[in-house]
Amino acid sequence: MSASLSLLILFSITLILLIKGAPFLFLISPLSQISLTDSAALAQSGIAAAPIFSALANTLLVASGALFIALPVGTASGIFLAEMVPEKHASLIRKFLDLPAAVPPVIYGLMAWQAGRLFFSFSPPVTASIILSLMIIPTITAASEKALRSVPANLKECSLALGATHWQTIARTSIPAARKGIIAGAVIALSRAIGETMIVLMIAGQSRTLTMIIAGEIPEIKPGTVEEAFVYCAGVLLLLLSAFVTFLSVKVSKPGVRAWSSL
Amino acid sequence: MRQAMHQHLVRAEEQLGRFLIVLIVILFTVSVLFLIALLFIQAILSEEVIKKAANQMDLLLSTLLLLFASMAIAFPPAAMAAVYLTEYAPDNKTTAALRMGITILDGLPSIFAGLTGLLIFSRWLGFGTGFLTTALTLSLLVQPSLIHSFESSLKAVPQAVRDGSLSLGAGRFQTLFKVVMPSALPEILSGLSVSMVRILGETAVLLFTLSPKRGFSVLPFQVYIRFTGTIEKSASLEGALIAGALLMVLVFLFKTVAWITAPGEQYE
Repeated sequence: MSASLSLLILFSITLILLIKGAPFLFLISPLSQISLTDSAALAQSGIAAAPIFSALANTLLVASGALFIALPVGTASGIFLAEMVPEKHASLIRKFLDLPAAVPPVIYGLMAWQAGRLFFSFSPPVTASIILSLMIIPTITAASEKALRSVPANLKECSLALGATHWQTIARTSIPAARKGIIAGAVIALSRAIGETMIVLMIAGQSRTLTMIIAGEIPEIKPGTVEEAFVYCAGVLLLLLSAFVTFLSVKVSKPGVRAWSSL
Repeated sequence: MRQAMHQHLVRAEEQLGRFLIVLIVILFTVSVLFLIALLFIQAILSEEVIKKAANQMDLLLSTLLLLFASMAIAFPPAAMAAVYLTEYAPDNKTTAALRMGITILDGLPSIFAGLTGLLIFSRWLGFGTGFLTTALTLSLLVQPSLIHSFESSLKAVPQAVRDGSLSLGAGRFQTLFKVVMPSALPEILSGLSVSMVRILGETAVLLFTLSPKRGFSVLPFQVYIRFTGTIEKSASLEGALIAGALLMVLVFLFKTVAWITAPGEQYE
């Protein structure tokens, strides 16, 4: 079937990356001769001292910081759209709230740098987290709105009939019932934050993340050197991390299981 | 008395909750709008903006050229894969694994597309850096999300429509091209324009497939190059700001197209 050709290409790509990167993963182990976590050896070979695990930690730190800001804001926007806005205006406001996702990351990076220079001065990783959160909020908004709207109407009606106010119904019935959808949206947003390259490349400065290592080093390195090993090692870690996170999001929002069945 | 207290508390909670939510939504939109407005204001305030903007026109054209070239490359295989998945694929574990794989690929960071483009097109096939490598790599990048959106738009066509066409004696191919595809067309177009917005702003891939010094270049890449250039030489950001403002205009343009072509929401 010619149609599955494109699928074949896509999978072979993943395979090539894994094969090219996997041998280098073993180099991290303390048993090997050139330890990639050894910053001295790396500094000697021309790469700024950035051990791979601190890069992993930085990635997780920046991404989870972004999620920490984005989750409340995104969920609030989702509640706003699903429960508080009149139907007539909902689609317009939805488009408006979706706009930040269309702004190219490179523009965010540019403006964050500029705004940081002109108006405020947080440390670079904090700025990166804040700007990343702006980018991933629409993802959470869309997911939580969809989850809240798929809560069965009779659940809400039961709650209202028992005398709960609109707000109590939202806080104690709708949100717990839509929990799974909201969490799945948050996980997808997290994977976007982990994989974002341009924003961290332009703002995060000294605290290097995995994506920064890959994008920052690749254009200059020559094949078959320690630098290349280092970069592919970062690549494999990032690949495993984001594949795991995406897998998690699919598992959380299993299509067979209704969002409210755990009630 | 206690009843009244309780009533009061409930009301207070409701008002506080509503207030907080509206506040958060407003803060969020204001902060994004502030950043975008800052970009335009600073770009306009910089000297000789008209003359500089005129110099960007070839960049603008090459951005559009790259966009359409990569969409033209990406469309046929993505459409074929989506047709296969909706119309022909058996409902078994292999298909489920394929779907899972596409979902995971869709979630992968875009630098993996860049890395792949570098390894396969640039080094292995020897295309070097430039237009061809970039277009091929970008088309790889949007492949999974295109497949997803085409698949859901084909799935939205009711089975009864297909059955009706088949019962009138049409073949599977005729049903596909004369019945299913036309009725799914608005959603296919909307999926295309969403992907276009994404490609337009994609920069991480370009770091791998374009050379900063010479040859083919596009707007987002220029924003980054000029940004790093000014950081190193501590000059003004003028060039990066102007390229950024132009890119933003393009993105808004395509986003509007995506809104117009978007089919009505399913929430109603």
